[in-house]
Amino acid sequence: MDVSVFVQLLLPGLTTGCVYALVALGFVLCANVSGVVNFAQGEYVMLGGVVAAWLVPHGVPLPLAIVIAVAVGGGLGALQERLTLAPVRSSPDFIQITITLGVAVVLRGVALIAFGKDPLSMPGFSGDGVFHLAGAAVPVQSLWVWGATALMLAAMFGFLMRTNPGRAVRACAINLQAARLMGVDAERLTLLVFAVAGATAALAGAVIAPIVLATWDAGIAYGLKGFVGAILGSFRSPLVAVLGGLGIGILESFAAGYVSSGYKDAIVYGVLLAYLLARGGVFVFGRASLPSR
Amino acid sequence: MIKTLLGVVLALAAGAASAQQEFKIGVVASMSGGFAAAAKDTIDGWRAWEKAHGLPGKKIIVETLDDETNPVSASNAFRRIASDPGVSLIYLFIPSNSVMAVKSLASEFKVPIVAGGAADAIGIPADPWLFKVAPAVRDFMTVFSQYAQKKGYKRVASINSADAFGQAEITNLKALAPKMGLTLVAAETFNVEDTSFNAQLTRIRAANPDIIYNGASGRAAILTWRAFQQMGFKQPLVVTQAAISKAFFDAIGSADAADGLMTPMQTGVFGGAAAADAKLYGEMEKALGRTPVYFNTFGFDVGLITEYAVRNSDGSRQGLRDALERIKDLPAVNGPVTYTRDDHTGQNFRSIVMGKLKSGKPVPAD
Repeated sequence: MDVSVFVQLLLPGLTTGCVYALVALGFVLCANVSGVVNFAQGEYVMLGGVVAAWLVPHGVPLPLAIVIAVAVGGGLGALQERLTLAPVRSSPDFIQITITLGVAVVLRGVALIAFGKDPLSMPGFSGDGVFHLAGAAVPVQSLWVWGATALMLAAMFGFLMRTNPGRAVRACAINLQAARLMGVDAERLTLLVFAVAGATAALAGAVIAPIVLATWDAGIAYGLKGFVGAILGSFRSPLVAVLGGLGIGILESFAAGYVSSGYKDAIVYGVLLAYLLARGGVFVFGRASLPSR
Repeated sequence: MIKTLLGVVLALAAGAASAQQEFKIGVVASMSGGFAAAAKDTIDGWRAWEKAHGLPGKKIIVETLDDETNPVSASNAFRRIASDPGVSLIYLFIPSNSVMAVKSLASEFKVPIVAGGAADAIGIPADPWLFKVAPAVRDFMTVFSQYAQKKGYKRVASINSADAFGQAEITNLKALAPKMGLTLVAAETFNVEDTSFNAQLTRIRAANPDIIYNGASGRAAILTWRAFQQMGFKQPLVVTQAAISKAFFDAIGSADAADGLMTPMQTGVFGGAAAADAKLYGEMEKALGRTPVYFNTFGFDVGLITEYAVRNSDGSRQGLRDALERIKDLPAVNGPVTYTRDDHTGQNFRSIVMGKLKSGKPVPAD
């Protein structure tokens, strides 16, 4: 095996996987506290990217542009929860999930009108150069993506493991009804989590924008792959979801590089399908293991 | 005296009738949506033809409907406009996929149609009533292959989108390569929404080609161009004409940054003496009042095709259709136009040359 080819596929796959991981984490957190799969999650990545990439050429300093992008993501996440989900909290899940799909479409449409259809570019945080590692050429901006992801994950897991609101989120994941009965204010917690998930995704969008550009329609792809990561984590385990997101990024890069670029997505979704069937016991017990309706 | 008066009255009546002879053209154009800029440029080019040439003795009436860059809307707009018995000819200034949607209806209404779009399937198999103008994907890939052959390159790599346009490119290249003595050493694909092309380029680098064709446009064109630079590719890079845009130059830093980038272009893009017909180009430039862009030249050529068909027919729908099918090597800004019963493509590889960018402007490549 050529090491340089391996590294050339691994590192960019890891970069893309970081974004999937943060989106997957957002999916899981939102689902844990609200029971709703937030299909607008990928759109916050898009928003973080387009807001930052639009502000920088308009003279806003890069750090401030990123802060604004994150604030926009967090604010819209909170607004989404307050305006579109809180009023229908007692409605069936499929209605709430459909609403999140509607929010995704609205966010995309607004971004198209506000920022235009052309891709927006922004300079790398430390320039647009590349660094070489084991014969592979990787954009320097990748270091920012990895660093921001690591920082964000550390903060998120610190929040989940060491703070009372974080423990409350975990309690909700185990048993939402029981957590409520124990005095957890699930409504406030839901608002907080949607805001944090929006801000996290927006940060991911801002740091990856110098590598992949920012466009109004970028959220769908990130949302889908992040969704797959969340499925791998069973919409319960943030850690498995993050690992799933990272794994998908690397898997699609290896699939395109070692097998065929044409089968890249087929392989990723094929692996997901195999995982779901295996987890359901189909390979061990056959179809008999599936519950009858 | 009475005879003289009668003569004057008849002459006036004939003059009035002549002045009122109308030629109605229906236009389905993408006045909004993603193709709007191209459609507007096309119409500007056609207006320049109308100003420079027009149809002597006829008053041209134009009715335009917007398809919103949507194939369903295009079909609906076409049905509406084709149902008007006063319409003699229809233009389609819409993207390839919308033209294909209309193609399935063309014979139903029996109105001659002159259409834009680059997809091979618009012109072949030929619908009796639909006439394409610009060269097909096949022709662009022919010019790329001829260029590679001329420069002595043997190993060719290609990266194309997974959509119909990209797959048409690679299908044509696969068919052409052996005939031109070329070996296709890598044929990679991507989805238009992809944000990383690293794996595809890693495979291309491993295949060690002499020249690379990149069929990406829009964001993918920018990202692939960056990736080629970052991974240190030294081979000549040829891109599709659709890759070159203001957004492309903005995103890569400047127009100068793309110096040397090559693309097969229709000759009208180069302008002046490099145009297929410098005289016609001059007429168009004068009537337009500015330096023409590509879709202006396309619109002007549509006008020239109309002019031929009207001049060589009785003006009926059937007559116009028959005249269109008789066009052979009609001079046009982008190159000669030819239709046969089996091939309604119009221009072909003869109207394309390999160009390269110099400070954002296209010039013929060496």
